[in-house]
Amino acid sequence: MSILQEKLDFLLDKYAVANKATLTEDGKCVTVAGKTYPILPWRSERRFAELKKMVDTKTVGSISHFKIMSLNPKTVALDEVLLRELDTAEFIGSLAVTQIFKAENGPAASVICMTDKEAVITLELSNNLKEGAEVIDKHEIITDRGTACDRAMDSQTPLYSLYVYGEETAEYTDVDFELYGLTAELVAIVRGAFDIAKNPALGEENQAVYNRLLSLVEAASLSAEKCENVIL
Amino acid sequence: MKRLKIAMMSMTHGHTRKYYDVLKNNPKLEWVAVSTENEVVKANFLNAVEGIPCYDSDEAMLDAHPEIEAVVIASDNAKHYSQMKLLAERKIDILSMKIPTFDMEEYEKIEKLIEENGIICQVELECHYNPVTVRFKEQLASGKLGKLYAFNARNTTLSPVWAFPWQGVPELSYGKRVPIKEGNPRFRGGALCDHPHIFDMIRWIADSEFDYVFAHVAPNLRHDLEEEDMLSVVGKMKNGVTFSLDPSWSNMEERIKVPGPGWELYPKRMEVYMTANCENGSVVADLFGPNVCHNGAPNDRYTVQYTYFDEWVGLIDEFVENIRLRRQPKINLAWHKNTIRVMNAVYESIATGKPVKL
Repeated sequence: MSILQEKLDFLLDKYAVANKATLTEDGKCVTVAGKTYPILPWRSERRFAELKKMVDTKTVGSISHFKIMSLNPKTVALDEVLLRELDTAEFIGSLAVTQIFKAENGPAASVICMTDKEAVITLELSNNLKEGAEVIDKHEIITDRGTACDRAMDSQTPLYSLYVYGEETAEYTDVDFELYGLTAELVAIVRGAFDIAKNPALGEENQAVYNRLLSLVEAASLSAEKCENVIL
Repeated sequence: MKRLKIAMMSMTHGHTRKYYDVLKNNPKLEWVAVSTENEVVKANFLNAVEGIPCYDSDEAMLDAHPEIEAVVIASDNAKHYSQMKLLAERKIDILSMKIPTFDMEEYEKIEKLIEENGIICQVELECHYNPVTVRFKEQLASGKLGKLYAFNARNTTLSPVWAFPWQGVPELSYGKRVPIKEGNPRFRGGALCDHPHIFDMIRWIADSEFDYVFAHVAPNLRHDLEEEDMLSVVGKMKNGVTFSLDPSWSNMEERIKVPGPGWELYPKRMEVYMTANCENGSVVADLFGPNVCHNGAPNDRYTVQYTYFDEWVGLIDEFVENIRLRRQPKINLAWHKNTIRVMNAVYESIATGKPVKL
C-alpha cells in the first residue's frame, strides 16, 4: 500500500468517515462508493486556500492581473501544468476564462486569458527542469487594493520552513502535523481525496470543473495552432 | 581623454535625478549647464545640485555655452523631436531618453537629422549596464542550459505620474490622444510607454526579432488615470522563442510630488525580473536584487529598497567613448526602431483584440 493511501486511511479512520476511498496509482483521482473523481489537489494546498480567502473576504480589492509562473520537471506534461494553473487562477480569483491565447515552443508556453470580470490572467509555464526537480512557482494577484502572493514580496522563488546547514545542506517545508513527512504537494493529494470521501458531492463538482478545464486546454491548443485569440 | 562638456535639457523626465551623481563625478565629464522647463523642476534642481548654471530655455543655455558638446535630453516624449532638431542643427551629440518618439514618421525624420548632421544619438536603455544582465547573458551563452525556448520578463514600477505629470498626459507621453480600445475610456501613453526595456532586452537575449505579439489591457489599479496602467503581452520571436512581458505600473505608490522616502505603497518601487526557459533548465534573475528592507520612516511600513543604482555609470562611459571615437552606440536609433515598432504593435493588438504580426 502506498504511503499516500496509508495516510488517507489514517484520516478516514480517525475521523470515522463512513465511505472508503481509494487513490488511483498516479494520485490524480480517488474512488469513492464505486465512482472515480479527479482530486484537483492544488485546491487543497494551504497557500491557495489562504489566497482565496484574501480575495473572497476582500482583504485585497478587485483583481486586475493574476500572474502565474510555473517551472516544472520534464516528466510533467505541459498541458497538465496549464490545466492546473488555469484552475488555480479561476478557483482563487473566482474568475471564469472567456478568452485564451497561447504561444508555445517546445517545453515552454506563454498564455494570456481574459476573464468574465475583465481581470487578465497570465501564465508563464515550462516543463524543462530535470526529473524529480521541485516545481518552482509563483502566484501573484494584483488588485486595486494591494497585491496577494504566495512568495515573499521580494522574491520569485519559494522559501522553506526549515534549513539545515551542516556537512550537507537541506531544506524542508512541513505543512501538516497529521500528515507529517509528506511534502506539501502530497499532503494536498491526501487532503483532497479525504474531502471527497467526506462529501462525494465535491467529487461531482470536481468532475464538472475538470471537464471544463479540459475544454480550456483544448482551446489553448487551438489558439497556439492557429495563432488566434480563442473566444469561449 | 579630453573631458566631455555636457548639459541637460528640460529636467522633467523621471530619470533626471539619476544623472546628477554621474554627471558630477564621472572624471570624463564636465557638467556645463542645464535648462529647465518650468519653475517646479527648476526649484527641484536647484535644491538638489549646486554650482551648475541653470537656464529657463534650451536656446538660452546653448547660446550662453557654445562649448557644449553633448546633451542629455530629459524631457517629455513629445518634445524630443524639436529638441533633437535644435541640437542636430548645432552639431551637438545626444543622449535620448528611452522613447525618442512613438510616431514612426517622426522617428524617421529624427534618423535623417542625425545622419545628415553627423552626430551621435544614443538611446538610454540602462538595463544593459547592469551586472545581473551580464551574468544572465553569460549563463545562456555558456550553452550549459541548452537551447533557449522562452524568455519572460517584467519591468513593473510604481506610476511616476504624480511626480512627473507629463507621463499621465497622452499627448505628451504617446504623442497624441488615441483611445486604447473601443468602449474603454483610457488612452495610450501609460505604463507601456514607460517600459521599453524588456521589449529591447528580448531582442538581445533571443538574438531574433519579433514575429507577433498579442496583448490585453487589464483594469486600471488607479481608477482616475486616463492612461493604461496594467497590461500583459505574449508572443513569439521569429526564431520561435516565446515570451511573456509585463510592463505594468503594478507597484502602487503614494502620490507625492517629489520622489523620495515613503514613495512606496507596495513595498518595492520597481521590479525587473527575467526568466529564460531552456532545454535543460531555467535562469531566474532579479536585476536589482538582493535588496535591503525596513519598516521605519516616514510611514513605518514594510519597504524594500534595492541596492544597485549604478547603471548610469556604464551607460555614460559608453556614451563618452562613442562620442570620442565617433562610434555608433549599442542602442542607436536604427536598432531601437524595432523596439518602438513592437510597442506600437502591442497597442494595436489591445485595440483590435488580435495578434499583430511584425
